[in-house]
Amino acid sequence: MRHAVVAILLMAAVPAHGYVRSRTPHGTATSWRSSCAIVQPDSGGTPDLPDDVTFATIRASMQAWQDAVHGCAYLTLTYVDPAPLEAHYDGVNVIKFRTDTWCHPDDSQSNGVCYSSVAAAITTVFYVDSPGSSTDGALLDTDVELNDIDFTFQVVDPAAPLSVPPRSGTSVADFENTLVHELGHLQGLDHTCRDAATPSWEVDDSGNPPPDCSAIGKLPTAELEKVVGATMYNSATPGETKKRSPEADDVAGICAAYPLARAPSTCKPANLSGYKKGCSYGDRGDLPRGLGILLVAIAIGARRRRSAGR
Amino acid sequence: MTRILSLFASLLPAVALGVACNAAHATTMVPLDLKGLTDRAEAVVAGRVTTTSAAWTPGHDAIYTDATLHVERVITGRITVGEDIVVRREGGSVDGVGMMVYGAPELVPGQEVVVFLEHRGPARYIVGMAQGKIDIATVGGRQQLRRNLSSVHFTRTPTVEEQALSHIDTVNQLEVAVRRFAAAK
Repeated sequence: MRHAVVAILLMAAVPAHGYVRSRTPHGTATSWRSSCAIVQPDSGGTPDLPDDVTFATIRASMQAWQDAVHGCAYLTLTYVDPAPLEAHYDGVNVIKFRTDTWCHPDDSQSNGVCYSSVAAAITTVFYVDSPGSSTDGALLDTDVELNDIDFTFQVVDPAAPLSVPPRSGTSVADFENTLVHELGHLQGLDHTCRDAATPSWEVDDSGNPPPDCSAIGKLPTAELEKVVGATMYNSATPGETKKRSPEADDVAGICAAYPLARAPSTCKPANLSGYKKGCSYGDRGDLPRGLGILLVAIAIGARRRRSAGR
Repeated sequence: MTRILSLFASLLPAVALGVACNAAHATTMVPLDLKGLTDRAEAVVAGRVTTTSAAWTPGHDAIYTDATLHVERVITGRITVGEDIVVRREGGSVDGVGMMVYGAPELVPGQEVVVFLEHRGPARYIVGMAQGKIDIATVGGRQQLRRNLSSVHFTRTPTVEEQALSHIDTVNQLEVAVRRFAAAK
């Protein structure tokens, strides 16, 4: 018994770091509330690859997650055939290569968002941020945008990595390696170590702050392998292909987020009707308490004025 | 200080090679060391984040957050000490909808930071997203700079780049190194 207590104390003293789920600023883990996440590529594809290779790679990347979490997670990634699409906040989860400017489409207007030229891909995630609500943390829309201006996307042959030179002035990124990682974000996973972009409220599977990426070499070997070996680890080596298949830690993250026992009955796109562009609380029928009180007070005041005027 | 600069100089070929060859994925990016950050920066300043404000883009397709930074020190660039500048990052939360962009720097009121700034479109952003933000902390009365190099590819085995950065402990040291790189642009 005493040995067991000592063992438990030791385990508690040494955090075993693992997967990290994305969270809202209030600490709620984000997840899809449907049984599926529907993913659709933009039909424009990329000039770097034939369309059939591009779209087959997208399917393969989705299937890699499906195969890995089969038997423990309910979420399915549902592929829809390519169509001309833009990465809007519209409930359509788009995979889109950007070939003209590395900016969100709104950049045509004066307050738009442009991305860093050193980013090969950007995943944007919209979620419900409504603390206390049952829908808090529900994912609404995710888009994966790929930087085809500063990068050349290839499907690298592991036997002969980087055998094809990139376009002039660009770096090579393995499309499948990149995309499988991005699809982890799309499902609600964050990186396995903490960086300057990691919100301070995020914790790993054991409830501890994720390990510092810059000090990751100090982790015990087994833990280091777990964190660094994960598909959701946040860096890749040139021509790397090993992130094409989710590892045990990644699988554990998805299975914790979407356990079979809690499977929703339906597969449907996220309902944005209550969370439309720049919506007010009134759109969702749940006025903020202060505003509700104010409206009641105004109504009572008006009634009294009417009564007084009689 | 000479030792720091000579170490940086000795690292440049390796750093340049790394930037040219490294593939990146996710919002993990081409790694930028101090030279890479400085080369891309229009200005490098130290200051304190005073306020943040999130808003939708005009087309209501994205949310961005504007952070006001009170500039306390100008390392390079045409910015004045005492000026309040606006630094934009991707993502934020408005009207019950949150938008998260992996790799975007976290800017929180009260933070003391050094930031490498560039214009993207009309707005001023941080170079290399999270890579271009260095937190200034005081631990035990000593100033510490914390620039996380998570996006760089050398976390598996400590590299010369990482070691080089670890030799810069103060804003003064950083200023000398950045000005040296800026002068060589």
